[in-house]
Amino acid sequence: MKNLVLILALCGAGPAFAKGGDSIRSSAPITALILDLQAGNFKPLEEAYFEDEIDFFLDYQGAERSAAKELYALREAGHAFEMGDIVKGRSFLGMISKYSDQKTFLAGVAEGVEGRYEQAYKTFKSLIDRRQKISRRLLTSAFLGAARVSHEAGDYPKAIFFYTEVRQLDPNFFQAVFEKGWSFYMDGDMNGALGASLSFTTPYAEHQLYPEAYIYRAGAFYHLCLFDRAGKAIEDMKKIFIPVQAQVRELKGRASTAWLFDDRVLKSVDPKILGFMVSDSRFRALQRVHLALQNESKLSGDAGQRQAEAIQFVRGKLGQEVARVLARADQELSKALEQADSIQIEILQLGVNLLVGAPIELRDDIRIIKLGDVDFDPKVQFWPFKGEFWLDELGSYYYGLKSVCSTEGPK
Amino acid sequence: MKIYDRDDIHSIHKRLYSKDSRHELSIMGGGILNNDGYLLTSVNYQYHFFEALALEAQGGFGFQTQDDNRLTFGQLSASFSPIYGKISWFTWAVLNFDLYFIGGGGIVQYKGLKNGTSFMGNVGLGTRIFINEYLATRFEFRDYIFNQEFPGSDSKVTHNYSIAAGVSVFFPFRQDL
Repeated sequence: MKNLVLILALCGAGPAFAKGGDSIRSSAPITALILDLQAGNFKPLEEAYFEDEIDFFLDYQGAERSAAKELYALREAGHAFEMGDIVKGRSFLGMISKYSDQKTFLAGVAEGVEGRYEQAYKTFKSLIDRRQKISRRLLTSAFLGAARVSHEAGDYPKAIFFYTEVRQLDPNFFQAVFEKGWSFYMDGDMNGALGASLSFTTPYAEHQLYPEAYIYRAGAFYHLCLFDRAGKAIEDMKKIFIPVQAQVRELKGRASTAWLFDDRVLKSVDPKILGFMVSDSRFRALQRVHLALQNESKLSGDAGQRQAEAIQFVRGKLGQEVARVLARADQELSKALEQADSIQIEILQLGVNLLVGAPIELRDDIRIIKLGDVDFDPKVQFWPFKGEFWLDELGSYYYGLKSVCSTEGPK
Repeated sequence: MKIYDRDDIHSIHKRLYSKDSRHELSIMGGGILNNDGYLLTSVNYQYHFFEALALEAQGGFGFQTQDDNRLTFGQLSASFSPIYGKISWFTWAVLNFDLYFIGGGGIVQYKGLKNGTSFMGNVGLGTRIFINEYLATRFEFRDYIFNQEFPGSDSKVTHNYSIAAGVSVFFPFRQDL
């Protein structure tokens, strides 16, 4: 029934809405977008999509045939590549005649999914080289893309360079720091990996759900033969994330309508779970739309009906998205907690090996950089850390630990 | 309270705001606090050769509201800013600033009770608080020193202690970091 109403709404563009949502835009900007979609008033839709990440109107039936059909194809191409469906993604890309920069980015994603890392890197770099002419959001995506394909190709220093380009106020900042930590780890730079993981222990990371940051933190301590500290990192991780996973599972078992739109219940949800939900771009966009719809002036007549339908529609979509996001959170937590168990067993086994005199297997690619030997550019700030966290320092910590490994075991 | 690592940890990152190889245009207003007081306004252009060293050209105008005394001056100065730091504004924001010493010389023309022209030197101390990558506020103390003639007496070297505040715009707008 709801779909029927929406189809009728899309097909029944009347003279009252000849200019789309212009007449109600100041008091009801989100509902105005629905009227824009009906009336083929494309400009506001394009602005909402690119400037505010708003794309809920593309989920309305008929959007793929509307004036916003190229936006629809662009979004669907991205989703298809995200799911690894290259053929479908390319098919959507073929429907787009505009948005050459966005198409270039998606082409890079497709090349990366296909394992053509060198080509993908060149594609992302071509966007980065045009940084003055593209949006900050697309540039950040290109930085992340270049970093990821460099990581996959084993060029970790290059990956670290591009991860570092993602700015602190960007929604992808913590994701970039997290992935940069893995690049440090894979590069054998345990002090860099520890530095990246430190950002996730700060109060600023209260809303971040990155259990794997503790995994590579423990791994880095382990490879420096600081086994007590490796064990402590795992204990800290379990203490934080086991209760989080319990709540994720509890929420998964409840109907989203019972908690997602109730502020009192939301206040009791762990900030890390809320942060994880908001870090998902699709959930974030819908949540923003929902909030904006609630803040709109109450409309009357046809527009009022569209407004009420939009609220129901967005709530339905939010329910679907929250189920997907929670399932992903549960999966990631399970994987990280299993890894934590493995590391704990390894540390216990190590204790046994030490008792029986068995040698410890050591990584031979551990790099220890002495900060005192490094010449820093005048454009680089070098602040000693004394236990205080500054927002502008997040993601840039670097440890100066020395390995205590020896063939006989830890000292 | 959580105890964090205090190992040998450093934060190593790019400067948030850089002046190196950039132009800075400032409009400032303030006043001379002594010598019966002047209101001052100036336009300053700086080119930053390095983060710490810049050359400044300044054109300024001062006037008294009670008397008809006026100053018009032009100065060429060197600015040295060895201190760059950040402060926490309560817990709301992190403000990045630099401190600079400035000094130079030029010419002043004074009009009013007595008219004349003189060499003028200046020394001062100031701070920039960065707003974003192309905007900053400036607060500055300067002593403008020049030889001035007074009615009924010999000329003498006067120190004119000024305080000024203003806004700076950096070019190019985007930093090359």
